[in-house]
Amino acid sequence: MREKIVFQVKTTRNQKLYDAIIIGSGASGGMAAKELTEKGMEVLVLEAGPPVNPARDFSMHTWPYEDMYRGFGPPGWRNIDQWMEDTAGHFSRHFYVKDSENPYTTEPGKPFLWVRARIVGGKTLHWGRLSWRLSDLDFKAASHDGFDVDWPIDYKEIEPYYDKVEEFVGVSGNHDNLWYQPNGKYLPPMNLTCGEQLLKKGSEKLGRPGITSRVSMLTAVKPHHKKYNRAACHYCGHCGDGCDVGAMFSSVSSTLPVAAATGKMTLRPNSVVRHINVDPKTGNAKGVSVVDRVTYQELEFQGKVIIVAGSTLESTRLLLNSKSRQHPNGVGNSSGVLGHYLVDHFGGISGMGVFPTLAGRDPVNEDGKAAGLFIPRFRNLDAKTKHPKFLRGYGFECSSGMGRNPGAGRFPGFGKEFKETVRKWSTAPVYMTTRANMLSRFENFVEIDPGGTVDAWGIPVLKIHIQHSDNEREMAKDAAECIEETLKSAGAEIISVGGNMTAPGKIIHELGTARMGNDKKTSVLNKWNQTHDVKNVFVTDGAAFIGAANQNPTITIMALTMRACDYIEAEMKRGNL
Amino acid sequence: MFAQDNKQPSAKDAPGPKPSVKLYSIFALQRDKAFTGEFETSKSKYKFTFAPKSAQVENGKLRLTGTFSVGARKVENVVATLASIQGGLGTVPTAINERPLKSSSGLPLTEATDIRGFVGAMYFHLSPIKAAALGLTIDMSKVQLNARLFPTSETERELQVVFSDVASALYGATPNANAAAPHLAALNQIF
Repeated sequence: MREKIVFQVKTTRNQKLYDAIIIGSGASGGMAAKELTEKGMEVLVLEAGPPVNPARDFSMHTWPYEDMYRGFGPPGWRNIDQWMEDTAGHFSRHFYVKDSENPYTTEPGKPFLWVRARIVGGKTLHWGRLSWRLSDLDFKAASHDGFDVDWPIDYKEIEPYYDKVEEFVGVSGNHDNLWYQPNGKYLPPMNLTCGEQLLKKGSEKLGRPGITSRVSMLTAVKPHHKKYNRAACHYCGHCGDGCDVGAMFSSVSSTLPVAAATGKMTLRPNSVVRHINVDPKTGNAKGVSVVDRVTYQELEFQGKVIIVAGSTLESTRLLLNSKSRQHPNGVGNSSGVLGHYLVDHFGGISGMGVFPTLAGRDPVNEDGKAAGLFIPRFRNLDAKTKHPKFLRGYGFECSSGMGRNPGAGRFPGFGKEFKETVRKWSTAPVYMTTRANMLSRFENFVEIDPGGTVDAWGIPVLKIHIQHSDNEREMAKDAAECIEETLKSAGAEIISVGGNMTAPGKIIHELGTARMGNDKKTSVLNKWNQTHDVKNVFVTDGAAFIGAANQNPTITIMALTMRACDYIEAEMKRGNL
Repeated sequence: MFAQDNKQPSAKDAPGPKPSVKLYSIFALQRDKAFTGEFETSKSKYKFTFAPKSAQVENGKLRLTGTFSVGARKVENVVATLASIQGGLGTVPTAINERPLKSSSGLPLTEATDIRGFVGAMYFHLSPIKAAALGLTIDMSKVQLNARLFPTSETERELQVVFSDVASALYGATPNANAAAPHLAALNQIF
């Protein structure tokens, strides 16, 4: 008789009870680890991806000519197993997931580009670093224009946390005194190039302030930066390949070392969380089930508090997958709102020109700095700036200066004349691109794929439903017109303006899907990032956002995380957690 | 700077998933008319091919029937049911990119959407495979085939367009089996 093969999986239950289990080690998870360990709590940080070793994994100062493929990698490498990892370069590809192991699904004709970084440090290893506070124009947007609902917090409540985060992280920038783009605690700003100064003047002629971008990069080193061996930026421009001097904020340079130094953090990489386990008697969370990314060993960990910080959509996926008798639609989903109101900023509407006044000058090193010019939102700030065709607004990220790539592809021709043309104009380019608000709408949502698609560990994946509305399209049309107007005002010769709006997800500012709110029937979290339904589960990443505004979200995510950690400490002291 | 154990493999040399008990998903590239790839278990790496021979629509789902092989060992009549798709981004297939857009509002469009949308990956559920027939000792009772469409030949380009059309007809908000029929015929002609 043939032997029957029995496939059996054993689960190993870890008996230790942690004060908090933190899922994710990026901007939010790292900040939660720092804050809670500094408060004396024992935390377990579970990271789905591999560990990181800067000496081995960062490729800073590797030049394209050192690589046989000149930094581009062998033909088709990205298309073969990292096709959605839009910002991955051949030198940084290991910071990103393999799409071949991590599916998600969409509807035909409605693509979503989901860039994911499963690795210790998460997307902070290669983020854009622009660090803008939101203002009450954003937190109370519904009160301004009547669309959707206000956040349950206002600027005054979060302001002290912005202060603390900026001081800890190290943000360079100016005080520009714009009420809708609040000042912060800044290190000295990075300088604008000649072209950026010309563009700033051109924009200001139109009544639209242009300001130096505020970035989480050290332009000066304070004692708390020095303590963890962070150095000032040396303008090499290799930020996206891993900054091994720690000038750029990342969890690996900043928050995790602080948490590790307390001796109270246990970090377990390669830990893919399957679901949150709940106590059948109380309905509260008691821990998490994990599968090891490599070995497939099944594990369970126990914690008094669960902080879900795996990035916007991964967090929501985990909550949706955490179904139980007490929470049949997933943890935190008694409202049915979990997964809804997905947004991403959009870009793609851009312009490029050249400044004749800067053409043919001697080459200078202008390409290493992270901060260019930013033209903050100028539409729908008040009655005077109200636009008749759309709500909310957009800003422009702008840059000008010589780069490593002289832009030969922009010019026709060949031979000596062609080379002279390229050299002449390579000193004078100017670029503008849009970062625009997408309205939060219920019909843009994620769900667990009804087709039953799973990832490499058998965990059900998300199906993402999202598309732009006419509000975004009208905004895009206006942005293209304003780019042209600004370039002309600055004295640039225009080479191109316009383009298609980026597919949702491409700006990597996916937000919402577990929104905050005061009403548990219409929101997932309360104003402290705590789920209405399960008091010891907190969601501290971008999933908590009510709306996208048009500013980069990471500094707000960190401020909200810090605030939630203060609340957790207070509630624990009160015996409520 | 926070660094973990120097002796452990870190991100650059991190090992991939190596199941020992159950195979959940396998990844393949469409190459010519088949899907070829490699999977790893705790024991070894295996190259495989799924070669569809026919296509049908059943219960509103696309089903491909064909041969699944690992090396010289084969399992015939494996059915791959298309569970879901992932829309593609980047270079739109020429045949799709040339389609006239219906939008006449004059407002900017979103890249790779509407009738210029196309399929970048397809997720098939394979019928249970007796792993022993392939010389393997792992549970292959419910394997998902993650099929990436990244065409490099005329046949592959043609198949991507047809798969995109089938997906539009069957997997959108309003599935329409009749609309899929001509594309299904095209698919069978290619197979």
